[in-house]
Amino acid sequence: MTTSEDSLEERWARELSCRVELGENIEFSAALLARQLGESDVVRLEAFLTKIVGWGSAIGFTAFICPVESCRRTLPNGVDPVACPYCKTNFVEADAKAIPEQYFRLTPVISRDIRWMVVIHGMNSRAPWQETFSWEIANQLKYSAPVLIYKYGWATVEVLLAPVHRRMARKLGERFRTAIEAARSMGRPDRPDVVAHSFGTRLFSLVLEDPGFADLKFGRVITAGSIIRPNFDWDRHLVEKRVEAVLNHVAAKDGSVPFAQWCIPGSGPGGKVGYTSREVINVRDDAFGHSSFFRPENLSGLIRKNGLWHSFLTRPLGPFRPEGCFVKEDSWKPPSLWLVAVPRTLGFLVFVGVGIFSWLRRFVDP
Amino acid sequence: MPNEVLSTAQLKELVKQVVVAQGNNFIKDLLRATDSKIGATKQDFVQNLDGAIDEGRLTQARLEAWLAEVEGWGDQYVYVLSPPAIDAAGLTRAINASPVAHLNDAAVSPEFTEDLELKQIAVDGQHLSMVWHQGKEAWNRWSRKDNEEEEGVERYRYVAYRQRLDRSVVRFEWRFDDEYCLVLIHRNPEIKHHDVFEAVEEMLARFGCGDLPLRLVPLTQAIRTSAQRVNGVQSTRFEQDAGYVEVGSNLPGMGIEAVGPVRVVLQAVDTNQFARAQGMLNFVSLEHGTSRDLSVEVFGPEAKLRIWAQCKREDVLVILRLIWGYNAP
Repeated sequence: MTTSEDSLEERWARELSCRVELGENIEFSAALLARQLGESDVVRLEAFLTKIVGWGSAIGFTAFICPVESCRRTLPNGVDPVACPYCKTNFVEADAKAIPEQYFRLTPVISRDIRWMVVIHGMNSRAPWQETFSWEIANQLKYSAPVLIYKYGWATVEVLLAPVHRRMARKLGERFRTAIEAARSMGRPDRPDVVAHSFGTRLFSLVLEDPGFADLKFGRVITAGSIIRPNFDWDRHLVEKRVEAVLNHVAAKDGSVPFAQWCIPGSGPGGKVGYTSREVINVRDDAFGHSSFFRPENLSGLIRKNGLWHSFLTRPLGPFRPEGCFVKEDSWKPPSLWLVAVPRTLGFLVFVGVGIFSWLRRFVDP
Repeated sequence: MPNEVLSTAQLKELVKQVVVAQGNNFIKDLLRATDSKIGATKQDFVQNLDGAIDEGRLTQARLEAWLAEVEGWGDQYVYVLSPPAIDAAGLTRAINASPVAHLNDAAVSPEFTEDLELKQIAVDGQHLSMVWHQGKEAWNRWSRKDNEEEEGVERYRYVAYRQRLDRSVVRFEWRFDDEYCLVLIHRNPEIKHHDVFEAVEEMLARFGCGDLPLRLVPLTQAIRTSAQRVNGVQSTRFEQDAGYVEVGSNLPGMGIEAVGPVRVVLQAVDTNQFARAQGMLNFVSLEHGTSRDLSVEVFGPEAKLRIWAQCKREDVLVILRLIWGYNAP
């Protein structure tokens, strides 16, 4: 084999590999693929495709084309090649024979669409990024994909108390439930994709753990700047199909997440060190800080076509290995109660001292 | 005629007719099941099945059981209708007291008359089944036998047609637990569907059934629902008086779901805004439990299906059960 032949086959292999990654254009005949690639040597392309079938990288099957000149449509697999459902010709009666053509399929896993989403913000923020996100995604997609912007107000010192988390998570769970019912009634899937940031990730994890919301199921979940504990049992929720997949976007320069576990009960540095579950996709961005994800210039990059978040939400996950992907090898344990006792007590005192002001503030500025 | 015993010669004649009319895949299944050699042509199949009859590997009972499984199932139109009103016990009594009582549990008839003729009735506590036969002679264009001749100064061209004998089976199927009954009509264009409905209703009236004539049950909702399920639709068309939307996949193995840009168009269609719908629905063996992948064309307002492949009884019943589920409002 000459170098040019090598490079030609390498080019084809790269093209097919790209199709598998995207989950698009995964079924074709050699003639169809040649047309798409602008190749003239169909015979050689077919030989190459036959070779990759031998490697187990594709399956081959015979399809049939209607022989009627004015039709020539490819018959669906579940149709006997004795009649055309499109032009209604019975080939036996018309003394014609369906034309066999070898087809190839690279993978059974196809791309998916973002049908609707829920975005949950973090603490101490009005999260203007949610509006930007909704606007950007609506413009990117060209089709209707509603974004439910979930707001629980400007949470400050109340995050220091675990019972408040549970109350807030119950409200979130109820909101999920009504949104899912509304989506179902409109013919949308009953699994929203979720983007959660910072304290929003903690609330989402509590919804998943709450038996009262065991009926709620979710699509693909992105946690950014997560304060969920690294050893959170994502595996169970994935096995039970409560969530379809999880992307944990880690900001290497996150200065807030490492402190969360000392002050916020039940939290951990998942958004700094990654999750230990092997099924979760941890991706680290070395340049990002705690809220860098939502700066307009970064956000539009993440959700545009081929951006990290868009790719995670739309591509098949088998071959999805984005840049910065890592596995957290070592285990993680929460700090001992003795170590957190002091900061938690301080936190409680702060809450006792200023909690009433925060509560009053929420009346005039929720 | 119940349990009429066919002679070996009659059985072989029946086999010959069946081989001509049936799909090769099913005949190969029968050959395998009788430990016979398969062969490549219809002639081989007949020869090998004759051998199986001579050696006692293929009996009348076995052939009848196989025919009940495959003949009159697939490559046909299916109408979905509301069931008549009668209780199972009363129905059995009425059939046994009717002039067609002799057809109850009758053996498979090798004869296919030119007119639609009721040949079998089967009734028990769970279901009622009636089978009509119609034999039709037709001529297929057969260009391989075309020829030209010269006689003196004249030149003649002979255009050949080959005779085809269709064994067309029409069925009425009603499982009492189902909220629908079915009329299944072989694809033969010579069969007038209106005549079939009249024949079915005449029989049901004789058996004392109420709620006649049977009402068609529109399947538009089944297409709307299928348009939203994974691997659901090969092509679909939603219509209202002022316009229509039509989308489809050209891929032989995958439906609209696998064609991203078409898929999102279908997602954007509010199918409830369209009064009428038709579509080619895909049923995948691994997912839906059919014996093979099948594509079925559904004409919603006409309550009609066109099955474009030969299949087995269970396939048709599974598909209908699924479609009925999709049709729930």
